[in-house]
Formats: sequence, C-alpha cells, structure tokens
Amino acid sequence: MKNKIKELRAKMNITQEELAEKAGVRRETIVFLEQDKYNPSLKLANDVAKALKTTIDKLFIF
Amino acid sequence: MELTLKQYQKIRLVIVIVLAFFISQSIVFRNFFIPVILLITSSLLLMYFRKKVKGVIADERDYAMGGKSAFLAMQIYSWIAVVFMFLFYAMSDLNPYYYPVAMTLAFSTCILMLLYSVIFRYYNKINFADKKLIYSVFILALFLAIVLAFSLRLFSGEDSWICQNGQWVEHGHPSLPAPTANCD
Repeated sequence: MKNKIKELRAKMNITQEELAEKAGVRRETIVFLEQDKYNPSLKLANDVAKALKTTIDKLFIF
Repeated sequence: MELTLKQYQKIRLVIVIVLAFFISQSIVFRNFFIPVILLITSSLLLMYFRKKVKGVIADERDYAMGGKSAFLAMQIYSWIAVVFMFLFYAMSDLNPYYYPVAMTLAFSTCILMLLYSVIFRYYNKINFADKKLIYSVFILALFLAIVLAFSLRLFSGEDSWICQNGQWVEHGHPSLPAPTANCD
C-alpha cells in the first residue's frame, strides 16, 4: 500500500525519530512504512495520520 | 530512574552472560537448584528494567513478525522432533539410551502443540467472551491436569531401577540398563 508519509514528514520538517515517538512506534517501523514495506493496522495508520495532521484517506493511497 | 533502549539492551546482555556462566557452572557441579533461582531472579530483573525504559521497545510490527516467526519455529521444531523421535525409537533396540531421548522429543512436541492450541484458542475466542475468567481458569486447569498426567507418567518410577541393600534391583521393566552410579 502506497503512502505519502515521507512527503508529509518532510513538509512538517520532522525526523523519523520524532514521528515514531508521536505515533508510539519504533523508528524502524516508520522506515518500513515510508518504503511501503509494511501495511499498518488501522490504529497505527490513524496514529501516523494524526501525527502528520492529516487523515488516513489522504495519507494512504488505496 | 529512566533507561534508554540502548542501556536496557546492555543490561540485558550482561544478565544473559552472567546467567549463561552460572548455568554452565551449575551443570558442571550438578546443582540444578541455582539455575532455577537465577532464571526466576533474572526474569524479574528484566521485567523491572523493561518498565524503566523510556520509549517503545516493541511495536505492532515486532509483534506481527514475532507471531509469524514463532509459528514457523514451532512447525520446524515439531517436524524435526517427530522425525528424530521415530529414528531414535526405531534404534532403541540397538541402544536402550535412545528410548528416553525419543520419549523426550515426543512429549516435548505434544506439550508445545497443546500449549499453542490453548493460547490460540484463548486469543481467538475466549479473550472476547463474557465469562472470560471462568473459561481461562477452566482451560488452565485442564492444561495443568494434562501436564501433570504426562509428568506423573514420566517420573512415576514404575519402570526403573531401585537401590536395595547396595544393589540395583529392577522395578517393573526398565528400558535402560542399571545405573552406573554407586548404590549405597
């Protein structure tokens, strides 16, 4: 599943570590998400979307 | 006192090294009481330090990978254990020492499968049930009863050697030859 995490994170000017802390996951999980190598649960998708001040449907491309 | 993930990992490594050293020494000195105490103590210590870690130690991706890895590891172990169990059982006529090895492999595989089924059932249904506590206690009791039955069969001493008047005497039909240790 494609997503715009990297793009939005760059716009917000925050590091992977900071995003991971806000979403309550490890930095490696953010790396995997940005590389489209991991499909998150609905909860994590929502947490990441919230951390990036957007919504799930705008963040993930279904 | 808060710990970083790296500090926690260092502490964990030290505990594992100390534990490995003491367990190996305990085996050499044939003292099996110390390793059990050490295992419990180190588990409690690790639990304590884990709570002190600031930040996330494991997240949903780790748990997902852990689940897949555990399932695969269980399948691989079961297949290997079953194949070797049959091999050792078939060769136990040539060497009676192979028989307990075969039985250990068979019983360990059974207990592993049983434990997996119980835990799977718990997460699949009981975790969401209304009478969760009653179901949990019942399944735990059932599991303990089965483990106890296996243990009693294994350690019952029905077919073993007994030390009587300075001599090893057959009790039942032991599959192993008489112990080589002195019988006083």
